[in-house]
Amino acid sequence: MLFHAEAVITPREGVLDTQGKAVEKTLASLGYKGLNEVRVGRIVTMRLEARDEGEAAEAVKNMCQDLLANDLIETYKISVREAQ
Amino acid sequence: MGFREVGLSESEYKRIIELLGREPNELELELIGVMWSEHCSYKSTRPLLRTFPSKGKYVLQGQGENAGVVDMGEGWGFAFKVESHNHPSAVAPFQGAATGVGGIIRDIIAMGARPSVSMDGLFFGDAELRKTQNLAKGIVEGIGAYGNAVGVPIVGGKTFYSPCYNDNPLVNAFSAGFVRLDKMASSQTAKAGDYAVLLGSKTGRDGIAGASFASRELDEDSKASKPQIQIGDPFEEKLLIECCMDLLDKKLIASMQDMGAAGILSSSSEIAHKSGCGIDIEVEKIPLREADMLPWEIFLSESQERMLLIVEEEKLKAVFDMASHYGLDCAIVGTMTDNKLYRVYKNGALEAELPTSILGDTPEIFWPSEEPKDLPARQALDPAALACCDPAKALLEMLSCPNGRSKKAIWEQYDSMVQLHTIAGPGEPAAIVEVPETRRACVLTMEAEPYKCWTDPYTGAAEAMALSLRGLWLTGAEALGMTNCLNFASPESPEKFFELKECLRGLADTCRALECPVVSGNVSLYNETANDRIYPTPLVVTAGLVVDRDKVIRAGRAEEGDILYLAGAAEGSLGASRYQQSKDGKPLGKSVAPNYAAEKKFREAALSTAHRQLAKSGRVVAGGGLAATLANEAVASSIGMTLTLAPESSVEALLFSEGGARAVYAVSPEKSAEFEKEWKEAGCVKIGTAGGSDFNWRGIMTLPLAKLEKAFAGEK
Amino acid sequence: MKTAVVVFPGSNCDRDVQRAVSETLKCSVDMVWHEERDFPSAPDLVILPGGFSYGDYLRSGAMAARSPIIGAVRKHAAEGRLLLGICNGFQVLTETKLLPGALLANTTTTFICRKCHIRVESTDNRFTSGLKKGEVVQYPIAHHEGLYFLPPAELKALEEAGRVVFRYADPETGEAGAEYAPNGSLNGIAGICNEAGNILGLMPHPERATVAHLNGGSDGGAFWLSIADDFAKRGIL
Repeated sequence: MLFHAEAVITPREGVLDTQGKAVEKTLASLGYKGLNEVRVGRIVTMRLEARDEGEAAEAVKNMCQDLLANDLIETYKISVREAQ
Repeated sequence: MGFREVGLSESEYKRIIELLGREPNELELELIGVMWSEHCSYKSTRPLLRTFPSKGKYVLQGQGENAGVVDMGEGWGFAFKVESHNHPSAVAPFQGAATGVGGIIRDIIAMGARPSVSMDGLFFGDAELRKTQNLAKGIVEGIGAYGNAVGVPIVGGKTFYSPCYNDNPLVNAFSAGFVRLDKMASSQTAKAGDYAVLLGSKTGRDGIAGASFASRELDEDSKASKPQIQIGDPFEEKLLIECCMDLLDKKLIASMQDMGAAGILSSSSEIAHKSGCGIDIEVEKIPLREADMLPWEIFLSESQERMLLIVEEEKLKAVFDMASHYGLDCAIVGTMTDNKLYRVYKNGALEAELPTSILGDTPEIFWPSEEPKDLPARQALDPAALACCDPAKALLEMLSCPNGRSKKAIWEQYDSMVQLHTIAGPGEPAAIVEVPETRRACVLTMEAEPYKCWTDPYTGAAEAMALSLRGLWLTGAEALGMTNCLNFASPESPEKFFELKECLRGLADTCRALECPVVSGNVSLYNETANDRIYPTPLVVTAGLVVDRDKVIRAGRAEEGDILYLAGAAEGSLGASRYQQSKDGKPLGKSVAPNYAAEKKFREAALSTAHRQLAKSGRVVAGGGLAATLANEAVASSIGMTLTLAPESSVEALLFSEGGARAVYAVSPEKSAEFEKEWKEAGCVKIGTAGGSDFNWRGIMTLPLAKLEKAFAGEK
Repeated sequence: MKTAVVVFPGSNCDRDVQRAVSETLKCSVDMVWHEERDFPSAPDLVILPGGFSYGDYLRSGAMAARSPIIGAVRKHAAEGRLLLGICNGFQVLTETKLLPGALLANTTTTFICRKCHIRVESTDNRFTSGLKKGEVVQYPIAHHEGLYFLPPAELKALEEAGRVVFRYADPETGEAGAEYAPNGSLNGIAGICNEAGNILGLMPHPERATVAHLNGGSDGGAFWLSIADDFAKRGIL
């Protein structure tokens, strides 16, 4: 079966996120109030073949651990759904 | 589809029918329309460009190739060119500027040279405007992101601010590279039977019709045209460089051409036409990013990071192996023929058949020219309004204003040292790089004088050219050749065309008189919006050669006790100077007329001063006049100065007038007699000494060096 | 001594390192493509050069750290031979976990290219034994991701083990620390080594301070000579 998977990778709590800080500063300078903690991460989307949703999720998790995220500085969330 | 939709005039369309003996089909009309566009054909300026001197003893390859090549000696050629990416950068600053850098680098590869240095001429609007700051940020980041990753050092450039660029920022990307003379490549050496091979990225819809887009005025719809902007991939480009260098090294390529404006169409038709061949292209063989692209889209796509290679049959396998080593896409897309026809096939069916000459020999336009009615008003100057009440304050303003202050915040974002050959990098008046494996050095200067070109197009352009030459001579470099980027408004306005014509005349006369041939160039017209037009902005980059890199004179090396000289007898002018502009809020007054006899005397003395190492430090008098030049020298040398030169006429003329062949030198006392002898013909006058921690101009001003440093850093 | 420089797609300081090492130490330097699985002849020193391997896409150094040659690089280091990562090479070393930590985007959020002063913090390793502890040298930096990061407890352990080899410093006072780091690096760290002292990663470029007539200066020459001295002591010439 074909699945659509998404890994959302964000900086780990406590790791300085320079991009997030810069974005926060700029948003504040544009007049957006009440902001705190803007964090910038990235999304990796893919289509992949797997037997079921569990196998697909497992594969994407392994990809995150192997390459897509650096566990020292990043955390990730995975979502998988059947592709249309 | 009608001829107007592809940007052709009625008379041009009639000419096409006459040449073909029939009506062109739709695809043919598209192809001709693009090749005959201003951007591809330079139809408005070609007659003027022919007036440039193109020959010189160092010229190995002049105009008509992807880039010019000059002889650096010991078997090395130097390929260089500057090209505009103005309109794309206005619409998408980061990607526009980045792809500008990538595009000019491929022009250098196409000559067989390893891209070795880059420089950028940036013209931004009012520095205080948020819009300018955002544009500038994106453009600078785009240049850095591409240049840094591709590993070509950015060794210098020019950044200029004026409200005339508010809506039309200019990005002029320069690149250059060294090539062994026996490895030079050409776009004129394809033969019938050779294969046309596409190397690099797949072709997508990006930048479609960018060529004609660039030749149209920016309007409100330009935001809607964003999808036309190309996206750059410096990683792919780096692989393309290494792959092409290896292919050239092994002599596997018969001919090559980069893909710039109008992508596959212009590169393949140019290579066929210049080589005296024809070409058959099989459109289905072109690797695509989007499957459903139409032939005209494929031919006009400006997808980045692609090269067209012409390869002999027995070398095809080796070429494909090399491409695969670098992980690059590579496909045979056509064959060279001997029938001088440009033929497009799709799955065996003939879709277009045009003589290559119709695509290569494009028409010219002679626009009417008329002196601007307000030219006398631009040249009128009220001396009383320029009176300087507080010279110290005025000097600090010259140093701290956007055009005067240090551009370190920009160039620190560029890798200026990669490739390990930068001798003098950004922040210095001239960039100096090693010629590989020799003691020789190549010197580069980039100049533009938009204020002066506005008030007096002929002398303004002449002054910009002469200034770039003086910068070379001062270091000890002989000028080998020049490349230019000619940024102007619409040529269709007779007054604008007059400015264009006069600027080009000024450049041509100066290059001829001072023996500096023009080897390559680029024209960018229609830099205007409904409300705004840029000042005439011809930008020049001049390349020079020093035979012994240890015998150069650089700026910022004045030391305690050195005697300071003003060398060169020329007089400057306050007309359209930085000082005048700061007083009047717009450029007014004529700049100083060219004096080639004085320039030549300056050249001889400056070259000899460098070869004999008679001075420790030197700097050409430039923007902000003598006072700003000396202050820059004091800041760069971290040393104070005591100056005794008294005004002959007004204080402001002494301090701030610009132009003319003049330089300041710092000379050690034991060499001062020799120095004065050397400059006897050209003229020189002792103006003070270096030392202490104050910038003290007797009877005029005293400023602590720290204050100058702060001003130059842009702090008030 | 035999040196090999690994060339990843997107490396751009590979030829510079080759020139700096071969000119200073008068030795030949092998260039090894990332797709190789072995070094051609067992090198004494392997260098991972600066640049933008794989375009620095995803994370700096992440994809280079998974390329075929890395197996041979690990083996080389495990045998106690010298492994040096400069700039992007340092990022690759942290991504392979051969060195601890990670390099994050500079606090300025910009690329920074400038000459930088760094203090030699430790000479108790195979690379800097010929330099003077506490001396301040000038090497250029050129990076966008140079902020060295390690969680607090591990950082403390790294410091205590004397594994911080270079720290950004003030040339006037000789003081070093975070306030002198142009990139916001924790504790002002510019370079670290592994426990055994045979793997070094640093953000500044000693190779850019090796050819005296170029604008990077000549402080880096002593760095290469220090490595050669270490080899000489072990009978490797």
